[in-house]
Amino acid sequence: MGFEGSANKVAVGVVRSDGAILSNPRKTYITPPGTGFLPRETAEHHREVILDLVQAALDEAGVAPKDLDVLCYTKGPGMGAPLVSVAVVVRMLSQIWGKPIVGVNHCVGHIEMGRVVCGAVDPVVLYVSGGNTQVIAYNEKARRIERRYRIFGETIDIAVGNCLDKFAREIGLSNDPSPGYNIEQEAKKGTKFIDLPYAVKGMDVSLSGVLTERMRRGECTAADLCFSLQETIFAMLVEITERTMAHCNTQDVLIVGGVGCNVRLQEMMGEMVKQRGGALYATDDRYCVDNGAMIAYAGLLAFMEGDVTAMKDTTCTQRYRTDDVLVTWRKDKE
Amino acid sequence: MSSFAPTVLKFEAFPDRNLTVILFKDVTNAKDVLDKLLARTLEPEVALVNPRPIQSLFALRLAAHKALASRERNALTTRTLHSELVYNLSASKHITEGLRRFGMDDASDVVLACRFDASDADAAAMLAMFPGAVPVNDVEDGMAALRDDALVKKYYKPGELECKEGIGSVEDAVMSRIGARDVL
Amino acid sequence: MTATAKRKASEVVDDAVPPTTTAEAATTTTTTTTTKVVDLIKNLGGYDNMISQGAEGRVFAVTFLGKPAIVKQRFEKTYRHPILDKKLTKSRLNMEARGMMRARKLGVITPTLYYVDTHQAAIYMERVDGASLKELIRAGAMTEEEMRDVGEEIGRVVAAMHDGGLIHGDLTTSNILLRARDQKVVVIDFGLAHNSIIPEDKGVDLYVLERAITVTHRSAAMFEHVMAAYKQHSRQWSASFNKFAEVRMRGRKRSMIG
Repeated sequence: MGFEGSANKVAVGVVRSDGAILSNPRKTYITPPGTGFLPRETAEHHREVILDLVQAALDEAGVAPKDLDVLCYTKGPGMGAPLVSVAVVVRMLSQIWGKPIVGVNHCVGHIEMGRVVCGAVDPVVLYVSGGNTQVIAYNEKARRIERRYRIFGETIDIAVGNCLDKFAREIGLSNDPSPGYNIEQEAKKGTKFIDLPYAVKGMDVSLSGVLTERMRRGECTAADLCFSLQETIFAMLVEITERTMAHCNTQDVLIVGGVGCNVRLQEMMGEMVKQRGGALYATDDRYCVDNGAMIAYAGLLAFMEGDVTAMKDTTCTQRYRTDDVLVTWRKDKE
Repeated sequence: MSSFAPTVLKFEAFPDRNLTVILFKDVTNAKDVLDKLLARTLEPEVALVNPRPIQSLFALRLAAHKALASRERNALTTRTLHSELVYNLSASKHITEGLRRFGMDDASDVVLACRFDASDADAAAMLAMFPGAVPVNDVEDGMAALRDDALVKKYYKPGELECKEGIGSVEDAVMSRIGARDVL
Repeated sequence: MTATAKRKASEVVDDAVPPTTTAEAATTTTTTTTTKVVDLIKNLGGYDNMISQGAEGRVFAVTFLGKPAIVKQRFEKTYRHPILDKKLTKSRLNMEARGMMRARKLGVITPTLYYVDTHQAAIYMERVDGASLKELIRAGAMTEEEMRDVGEEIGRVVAAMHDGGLIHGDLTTSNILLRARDQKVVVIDFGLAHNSIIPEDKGVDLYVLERAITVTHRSAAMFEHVMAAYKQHSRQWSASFNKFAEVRMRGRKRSMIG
């Protein structure tokens, strides 16, 4: 059973070792248009609903606590208060049910879930969510390296999700179901391509202000800006991914993280991958979006290799790099 | 004189085209020829290049390649293929300045006459264009001997470091300025 | 959706380009109306001699005006909006040519630039006989001593570019060659280069280089030599180092948030 609560979503999921998802309920803390979610209120929300989610996950999966092998929770990265609110529940359940715990890196959860769902063997992973933009590759085929995911293209100074969310707030788009989704819908109505700075750094800082200024002057509509913003930002993401592919000499791409649900991003990435003769594995939003099953699955992989997190180590960490995780479970051929 | 054979340059990208080059010394009638050129009555049409600021035959060949590329694409910047060759020798996009610096002037005593796809008759006419002048047999050596390095330096501004042994040469610097002019 | 993007392109009013670009765009449009497509790479037999296909473009081996050369052609990225694609292709072709020339003026070895063909977004340059640092490290072809020497040379070269206000923008081990004839460091691929004297930009450049070297080499030793030589040769090393440390920290911090 996996527990996730690193941002505004709290979720519990049950999976089997073959990746089959038995249940995966989730609740999202939705704030009114024009506002973002704050750590304390988000944690409060998570505390209120998590026990119901645990019950729902058990019921839906048709299992009892005694059937579970291990409890997996998101150790980080993420917002401190929400992370801790979930970890406390996991510690309690571990003692009541007598089950071991495994702490999981949130990003690795996305990656492993994406790999098992899509059947991608050794793809370059674009992980793009509210707070994170990373291009990740596992193995560089030519040589033996330590078993860790490696982060490429990290110098890009854009948290893409954050940038889109912020812009959505500025133009008063709804946060339901997510600001990114509403930008995507709005972008479909856009007709005019506005030339925006194509810079791989400093995007999120000043851009939304520049954008709304142009809108205010009546030069274009909100839809045009959503359209152009997507076209520009996604082009950067695809380009960085392509550079990593060329560097690592790999063919396939897996997109994970909340922004990965965006169909236009998937189309652009698909086009690039096709040009290079590879395959795109884009997960659908059940697994792209933060959820419990992905944490359960990644934790289970580590658990089967003998990894267990001792009670005293079941802490949370806001800083937890993808390449801090020793990947014990991947047995790729050199 | 009868043993003189003009130099013919070839271009890998344009196998059907070539450039006939004749270097003259002791020219005395530059003004007359130039007047005809400007009146567009000079037959056949030629490019009359001032050899002094030309680094090498390679530079001339690159300028000619560029002129042919523009011609084939209907994208000449100047009026004719031959004036394009002269203009292309310049590192600057300023057309008049390029033509003035790299074209023959009416006081010239040396000239590099060039014609694309010249027939034997054209070559003979080119030789007859400068009565009394001496066509140089080895164009490459002749150009090197006539070259005014100060002028090359003034027109192409090669940097001190880029011409250092192991990094590059004056010719490299000239090539890149001719070859990349359109994007600089 | 690409079809949609293309349809939208025709309706575009591109009012955001700076004046200089507009002027240039205007001249190109007037010529392109009558321009004929002439494929020089095909004429040169380049397509039969492709050396590599990178993320940016394809590289072909040709003989150009009697010299062994390579042609690097940027191709259309169909996933990008056509307006954005044109803008990026043009600016990178220009930056690559300018960057190469500027680096040379600063005493950095780059392939000799022969010709830039704007019609085909192609750049023709000297064919350098040598291997990339990436290939050499991977093949285990270098001794510790050679690694040190090369690391120091890289540090000197990057310092020279930075002090001259040139940021390479993509300092990876694939973009650093060792020339066969004299084992000198040759820097290539200036497509992301830009002019800047801001320490932040230099810091990012160094950070990219550090990541590239440690990912390829899996050891910090070589990069330490780079930094030592950079410090020795750059007048502004201190500001660059401070920013480098900051950029590095930011890279770490950024992965904190979920």
